[in-house]
Amino acid sequence: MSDWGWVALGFAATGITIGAYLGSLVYRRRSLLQRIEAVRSQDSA
Amino acid sequence: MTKRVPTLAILVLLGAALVAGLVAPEDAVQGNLARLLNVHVPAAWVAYLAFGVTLVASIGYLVTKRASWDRVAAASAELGVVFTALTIFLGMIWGKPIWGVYWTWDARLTSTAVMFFVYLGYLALRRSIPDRETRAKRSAILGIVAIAQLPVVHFSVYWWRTLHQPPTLLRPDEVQMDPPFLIAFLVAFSLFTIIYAVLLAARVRIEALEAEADELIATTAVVAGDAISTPTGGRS
Repeated sequence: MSDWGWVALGFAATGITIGAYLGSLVYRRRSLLQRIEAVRSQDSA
Repeated sequence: MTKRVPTLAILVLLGAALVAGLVAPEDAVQGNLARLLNVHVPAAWVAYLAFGVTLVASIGYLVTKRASWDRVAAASAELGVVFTALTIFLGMIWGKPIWGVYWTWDARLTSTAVMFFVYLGYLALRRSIPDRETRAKRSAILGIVAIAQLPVVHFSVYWWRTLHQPPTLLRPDEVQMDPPFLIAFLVAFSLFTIIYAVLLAARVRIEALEAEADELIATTAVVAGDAISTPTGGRS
């Protein structure tokens, strides 16, 4: 692989890792809010 | 309403960090491959910082017994594990063209891998204890003990004969870098640090939401349990 190929791989890995972690935070937050909402609505019913 | 995860801000910061690495000049010896160090070294710095924050927050929890310290410790340890994994991976893809191998059992690489698995164990420990107070106390103890590896990782290049070069910025003597390289490095360091801080804040809020959800479910279960047990209690 060329030097630029390694650089591209490294930069892509950085972007994907941080992006994937960010995505996991968004997903976890959304699931928790839905879970809280479901418990609250069940409680009030 | 809880705050949203600042996705756009993080993506912009990340983009800027990557651009800083790309606009840095080409190295006389390593050529363009040296650009990988503009992400590898800041990622390693963030891992150090994250585990340092876990240490401070763990001490904070043991002293004050406040759950907020435990949340910070947990969130920071998770980020430390992510950035350590990234550091190792980036080191491997820099190592292949420069050293000729992806991995070697060098003191720096091995101690970093051990640190990664110990903090992975920290996260596993947290998942294995359901009681919140016991979990926070035991995790805090591990969060304090585990930091002993950090100086071993950092100074391994001085203490043992290693293939890995000595530190470039975080070194006891003078920094030996030309200004254009140093500026690109410092920009990447600053942006990675801000990314860490923003991700940490978002992750801490999720820890708080998890605690809220657990408490709500426990309360609902108690109420439901009372509703079921009351008639039985009346008959006996």
